[in-house]
Amino acid sequence: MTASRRIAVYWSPGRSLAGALEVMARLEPDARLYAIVPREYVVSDRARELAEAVIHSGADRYSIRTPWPLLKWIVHLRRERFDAVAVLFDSPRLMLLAAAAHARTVLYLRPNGTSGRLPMSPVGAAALSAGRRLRGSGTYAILWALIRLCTAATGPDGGGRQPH
Amino acid sequence: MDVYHTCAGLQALGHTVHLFAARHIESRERTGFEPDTLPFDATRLDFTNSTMTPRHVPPRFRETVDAWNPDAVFFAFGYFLKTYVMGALAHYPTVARYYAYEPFCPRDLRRFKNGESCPCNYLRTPDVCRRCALDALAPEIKTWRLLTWGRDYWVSRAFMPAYHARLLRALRTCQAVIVYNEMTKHLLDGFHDRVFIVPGGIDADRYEVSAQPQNGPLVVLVTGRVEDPVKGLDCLERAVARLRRTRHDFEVWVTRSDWVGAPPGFKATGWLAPDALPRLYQQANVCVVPSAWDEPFGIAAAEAMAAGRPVCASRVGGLQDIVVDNETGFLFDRNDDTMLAERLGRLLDAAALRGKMGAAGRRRAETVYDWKRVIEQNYPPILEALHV
Repeated sequence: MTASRRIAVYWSPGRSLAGALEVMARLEPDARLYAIVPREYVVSDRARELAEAVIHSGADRYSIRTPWPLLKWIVHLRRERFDAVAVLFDSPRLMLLAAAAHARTVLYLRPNGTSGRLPMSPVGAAALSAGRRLRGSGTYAILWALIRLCTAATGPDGGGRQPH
Repeated sequence: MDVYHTCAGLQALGHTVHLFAARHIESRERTGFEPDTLPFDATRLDFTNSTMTPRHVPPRFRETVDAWNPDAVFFAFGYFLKTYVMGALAHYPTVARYYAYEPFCPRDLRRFKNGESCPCNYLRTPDVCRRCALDALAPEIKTWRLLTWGRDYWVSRAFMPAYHARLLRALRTCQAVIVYNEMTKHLLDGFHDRVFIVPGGIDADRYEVSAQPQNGPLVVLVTGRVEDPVKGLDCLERAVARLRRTRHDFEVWVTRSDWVGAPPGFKATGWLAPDALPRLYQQANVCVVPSAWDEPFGIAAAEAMAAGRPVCASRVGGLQDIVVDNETGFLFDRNDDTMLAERLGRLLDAAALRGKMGAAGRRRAETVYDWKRVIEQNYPPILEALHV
């Protein structure tokens, strides 16, 4: 970890930007942090203190269905030449976007204040996601059947009890 | 917050208190605390992915708590594993504290579905609720990206009928149950006959009462996790659109960051740390809590009252207990933007009414919702019932 590492923190809804920047600043005290937020995102004073710069994206949401803005955004991110991109959720969409940004490292900042590395290549990200989906779909099918086959007992100690 | 103030308050009443809390060290979410930073004794029990299970958590709690040998045990916040821990410590006089609808809604502890309050109760309709919970958790399960609630559901086998029977047994073994409001108490009718209502609280000293701001447009403030649809911001948006047909002398401040395309008249303050809230309330003229779900407590209303501000709140869950209609503010029917617009308009029109209701709210916050009062007024009868 060198002193001048440039790290982008890619904000996602449901998480605190200032909180994520604080975690990143603690994990990488010498790095220069860049906050990436949607175009109309209101950045708190605390987040501005922690970030070297705030980069507002050109669109509120990117999708493969609108390839041109997505491509422009990826080119923009690649031009920034970040040493690392930190995402706040390990979703396949964010993993792919972070991998496409061509940073040397892609980090996942967990809400508990720790970080982990995510697959660097788009292929690795896709494989990880497919493996999870396979396991998840199998588990869901088993639970679906169990819930319909095994019903809760009724009576004084079970379900369906009426109020006194 | 509730656990902290309850422990500190009981200690102030002369009891010896020890907090035992689990921390899932591999959790993706915020978890845990530093025992040394607390004003009472505390022990943190760390668990990994492989030990945060019904097989490991209950015996570990039992072993640790037995070594301390308390006169009574209170069970604070927890999801599905809490039921197993309650079973493991059933040899003590015990009290289960529920903060939302944990025993009534395995879907997400909110009893809120398709934009409205859900009439089901897992204790009475377990099979309906089991199917509903699986439907709600399907996206997490199918992608195998379980968050805390989903993980607890999975490891606790909460999808099985045996979990329902275990929960009923655990409830029966408790000497008392504590909930936030009257509505939640009724959900336990027939399942437990010693249910106490203990509200949440605020630290009234943190809130300075200042005069209503005079300069600039009137400020209507909404605080809390407003981006969550259960908080009913859409109702306020409709009410504000209605009011703006005839007046533009006010703006609505909302504590959120991710607000792309905020409607006219609304302003995002950004997400604020709790320490910044008292100052924000001072800048407001009126506070609105438009919750659509049956808010178990509604701390935003209590905070606004502590700051001496009148509150317009929906007539749901614990909010209807906190706000005294026509005295400390106004209540309006859930999702009724016409009624909210009318009530809000009345408050915006009359500075004297705002001042009078704000002062009444402050008095109520001090006498009913200040943590010291909450503990002093509510816990002695509970401990007496436990013969402690």
